[in-house]
Formats: sequence, structure tokens, C-alpha cells
Amino acid sequence: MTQLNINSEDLLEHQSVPATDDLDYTIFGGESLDLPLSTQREIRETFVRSAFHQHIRGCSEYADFVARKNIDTEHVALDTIPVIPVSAFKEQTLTSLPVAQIEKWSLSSGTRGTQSKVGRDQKSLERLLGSIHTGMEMLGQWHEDQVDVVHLGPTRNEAGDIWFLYVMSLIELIHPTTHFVASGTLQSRQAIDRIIDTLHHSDQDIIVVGAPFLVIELTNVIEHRQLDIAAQDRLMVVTAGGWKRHSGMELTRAAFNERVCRVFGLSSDAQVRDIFNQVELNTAFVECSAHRKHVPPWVYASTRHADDLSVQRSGELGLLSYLDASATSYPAFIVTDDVGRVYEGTCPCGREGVTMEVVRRLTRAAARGCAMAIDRKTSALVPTEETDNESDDV
Amino acid sequence: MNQMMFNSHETHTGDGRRVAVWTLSSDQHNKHSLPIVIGSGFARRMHHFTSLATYGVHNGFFVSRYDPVNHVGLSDGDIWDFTLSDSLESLRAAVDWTCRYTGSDKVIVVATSLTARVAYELAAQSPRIEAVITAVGVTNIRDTFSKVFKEDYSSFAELPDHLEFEGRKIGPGVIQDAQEHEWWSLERCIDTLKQVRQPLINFIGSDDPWVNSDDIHKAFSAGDGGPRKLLTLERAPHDLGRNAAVAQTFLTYLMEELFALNQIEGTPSVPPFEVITQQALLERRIQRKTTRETESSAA
Repeated sequence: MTQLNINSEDLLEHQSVPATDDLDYTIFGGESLDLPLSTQREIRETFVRSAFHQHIRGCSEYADFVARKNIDTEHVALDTIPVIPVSAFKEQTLTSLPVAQIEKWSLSSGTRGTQSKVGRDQKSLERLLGSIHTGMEMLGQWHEDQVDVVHLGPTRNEAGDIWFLYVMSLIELIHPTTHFVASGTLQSRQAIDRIIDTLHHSDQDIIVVGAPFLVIELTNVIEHRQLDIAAQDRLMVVTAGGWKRHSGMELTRAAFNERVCRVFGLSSDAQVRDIFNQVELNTAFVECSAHRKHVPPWVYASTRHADDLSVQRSGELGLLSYLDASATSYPAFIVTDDVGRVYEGTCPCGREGVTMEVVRRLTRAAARGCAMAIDRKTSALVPTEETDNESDDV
Repeated sequence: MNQMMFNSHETHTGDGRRVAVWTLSSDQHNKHSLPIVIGSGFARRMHHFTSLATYGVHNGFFVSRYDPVNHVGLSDGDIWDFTLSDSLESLRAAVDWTCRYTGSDKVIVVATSLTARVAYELAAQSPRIEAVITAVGVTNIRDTFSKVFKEDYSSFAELPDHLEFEGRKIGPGVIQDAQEHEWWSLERCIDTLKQVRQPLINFIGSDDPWVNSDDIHKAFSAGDGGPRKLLTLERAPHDLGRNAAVAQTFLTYLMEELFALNQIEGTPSVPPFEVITQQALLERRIQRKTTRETESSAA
């Protein structure tokens, strides 16, 4: 007879095991976006502050950076936690854990200039997936096989280390997915055939996932073939990956929604949603039915003045900045080169919380000026020469 | 990480119905450890247990999974006709097949949720089961069904047209079978556990809305046919995989229990995230491709 791993002499042993910490409980609980605003604020304060201390202990570059600020790290306000310009991730490796614990190195998707490189451990990767799960539940309540995903992107293997492509490909872990980009080419005819076949021969709903310019390419082919898709309420289009890059696309978001609704024959523009993420950020922000991107409470999102990086009021246009407590392997305390707004309050969808919008990327000239200003504020973490060529001219 | 070997097989229940079996192993398989047979929970399929299987293989075990007949998955039948008695026969077929395939006299069964109740029953009957480890195991089917389906069907004189779970319809046969074969009650489960001489270990989720932990304690205390162990995972839901931290805690403790049962020294290790992800994607593609092909040929 085999032995039980029992320490007592009793025939029945009972043991209690702590199975999750508070942050994981929040991330994977699935209800974080529905919590009252006051609770979300408390969560934010607790987790971001805790992450700040962890990264000071774990990342010597960040600790040096913070030390030069002469702030009281024990009692620091979230607004005064030092933020790292994303360009710093292009020049150096910032990790808060031993490199041996890094499971995946990811690159930003720019094809010109230097790419950001970010290392993630298992916990950071799993939390990123958790934020996608939570966000997906805002899109709809489907069980695994109730949806067929038409992914306008490559497979996990072909995605390689490009973060945006990698994250998109992971939807295959949630729902049955077919990938319609092979060797860098969109297989639009096959994707459209799949949509039509599923609409006519299955009771599954469909989610079309892809970068906006690929969705537009698909609508162009549908129009060219004079197809009447008439998906009504059975299809949702979910975009991610930026609105101007690579495409030269000058479509406004409203015009994009209108076009997608018309060509796919959708019942409502609430069926067109966007997801925001970038390689330096460890959480996905998913749009609600009112087209607001909701920021989960473990992330402190704000906008900052370009000249001194001071935090602005709710709704004010500025540089988007995030303190993301979910990353354990690197300090995800960043100021980006996106210009946008952050709101706190009640969203038209009915949820309380924080939402954000990206208005535009910095122009190169502005980015250079801003980088110099940031450099003065963040010496030793940002390169002195602006090397980011990925931003579109705006 | 040693190279994992994935294979697809099939066996049959005693009355000839086909049971799909997947095996996962490695070239560094510990020959002294007993094979593991994983029994998925209700409405779950083999590919939902990639992490468990990968953890097992990463720590030197040979792992079998199967889909029950009359259930979701790759075996014969449809979930409309699901019964606990069929679930028992499917587990029996998987255990017998794994013993034949590996040459081992015995296996360790790891079963979750509703399948735990079936595993306890088989442990009372089969000499091939060395030990049973269950997660969020159901001992009081009447109570769990009442919580899940919002009705106590055990006392219904007239059977419902169907039950619905996660968008799937299940025919009234599951109720009829439970009534005819006395699957319902906690007392019947305790009677079974009294006959189980093998070690039983159960992981309880403290936030599990479908399983009453008092019932588990009662069943394992009174059903004292052999050594018993309960581990409560604090703040864990019924779906242990929903929270990655809970899942990792569960899997690490599960491996420790498997090491102890096999008298293996050392500390279990955690497989890399990318290894689990790659295996998960591979298995999902196989499962979905096979399902599509089956549906196409049926049409």
C-alpha cells in the first residue's frame, strides 16, 4: 500500500493552503471592472505602491533612478512615483528579477529604428492573459465553443517575439481560432469564406480579430466581391495594434465603425471594439459597448505634462502614463509617446472606474523636444539621442 | 525540459463504445512511478487538462487522459445522453487500457469535480487503482446538482425535458440514471468511501459555490476505509484554472502528493510557461480538427 504525505497519526488529515495573493485574486476574479470606484482606488493604491517597492528592490537601474529623485519611498504618492520613458526599453534591459527567471523576451512591432525589448516571467505572462480574459468578458459571455475566431494575424509560432502579434495569437487559448495571415500576407478570401461558412452552417458567433488596416483590407475585398454578409448580431470585430501605423489609413474611428458595420451587416456599432496594449505595458485595456477603454484597478493611468511630467487632471490632454502593478519582472512604470486622455468616473456603459483614449502619437519633432525634456527629468534611463522612428508624423 | 511525446489512442468500454485516449510522456519518464489517469470534470475535455498533464510529465510521470462516452470530446456519443454510470465505465476503460499499455499493475487516478464521485466508485471496485487524488471533488451529487441547475431533481417524480449547462443541453437520462443507481446522496458516497482501502486525497476550493466543504469533511471522516487527506485551497473557486496562481499552487501540491505516493524524493518543478502554452495550442488544434472532421463526415 502506498503512503500518504500525512504528518499526523490520524487517518484523516486536513491542511489549509494559501492559494493566491491579493493581486492575483483581483486580476483573475473577473469582477475588477465592476467594482465601485472607491474600491478600485484602494486596490490601485495598495498594489501599485507594493509593486513600486518590489521594483526598487529588484531593479538596480530603477532604484538608482528613484534615488536621484530624493523622494520618500515609504510614503510616496502615486503621482510622484518616477516613470520611465518607453524609449529607455530600447536602449537597455530593465529587469526586476534574475534573468534566468525571464520566460519570454518580447519586442515592439516597429520595423524601423530600435525596438523595445521587455522580459517577462511566468507570473507577468499569466497576469497579462488574466487581463485579456477579464476584458473578453466585457465583449460578451461566451463559452469556449460558442465562438469561432477569425484571426487576421499569424499563428503563435509565426508571431515570434513581436509582442502585439504574440498577444493576439493567444486568443487561440480561449476560443477555436483560425489564423489568416501566412508569411506576412492576409488570406482575405479564405477568411471571408470562413465567416460565411460559419454564419450559414453553424450556430457559433464569430469574432474577427485583427489590426484596423487588415480589417479595412477585408472590407475592401468583401465590397469588391459584392458579398452580402448580413451578420447582424452574430459577429463582432475586435481591433488591436494601433490606428495609423503601417497603413497610412486616414479613417476616423467613427468612419471605421460605420464602414465595418455596413460591410459586415452588423446590428450595432457596439459590435466593433478596440483593445489597447503595448510591449512595455502588462495589461490589456478593452473597450466597453460605449467605446471607452477601461483601465483595471491594478493600473494607475494618468496623463502628464510634456515639460515636467507632472500628472494632469482627469480629461486633460497629455502624455499617457501607466503604473502597472501586474508586471513582476520589470518596472512597468512608464510614460509613453502617446498623447491622450484619462477619465475617472462613471462610464456611459454604467461601470465606474478609469477609462483612457489615445488621441495621437507625438510628432517626431515634438517627440525629440519631449525626449530632451524627459531626459532632463529622467537622466540615465533614457538615451540622449531620440532613436524612436516608429511614431507616425501627426 | 525533456522532450514530451504526445500520442492519440483509443480503447472501448465493456459494451464496445469507443473511448478516445491521449497520452503524454517523456524520454525521461521515471520507470518506478505509477502512471496517472486524468478524469476531466463534467463538460471538460482532454485539452482542458494540458497544464496538469504537462506538470506530470515534467516531473517524470506517464500521463493518460480520456474523454468519457456520451460527453463532450472525442469519444463516442453526445453529452445529451450523459450519465454517471457511463462516466464510470469510461474511467474503467481508461484505467484498464493504461495498465495494459504501460505494463503497470496499477495507476493513480486524478479526477476533478463530478468525475471525482465516479473515481471513488471505481476505486471501491478496481484493484488497479492505487490511489485517487481529486480536485473540487463532488461527494453529494444531489446538493451540487441543486446548486448548478437551481432545482432538486432527486425528488422529481416527472423528469425534466432537459438540463442546460454552459450552453449545452443534457437529456433527462442523467437524472434517471442517478435515481436508478443511487448516485444522488452523500450517504451513498460515504458507503462507497468505506469500501475504498486506497489512499484518497481531495483538494477543496474554499470559494467553491458548487461543493459544500462540510459534505467533503463528513464524507472523508465517515468514509474511512483507508488513509484520507483534505487540502483546502484558500480563496479558490470551483474552476481552479481560472486563477493562474491558484492553478499553480494546486498543481505544485498535487505533484508533491504524487511524489509522496510514489516515494520519490525531491521537490517537484514547474514546467516553463512557453512549454505549457505550446502544448495547449497543439492539443486544442488536434481536438478542434478532429471535431470538425467528425462533424463534416456526419453531415
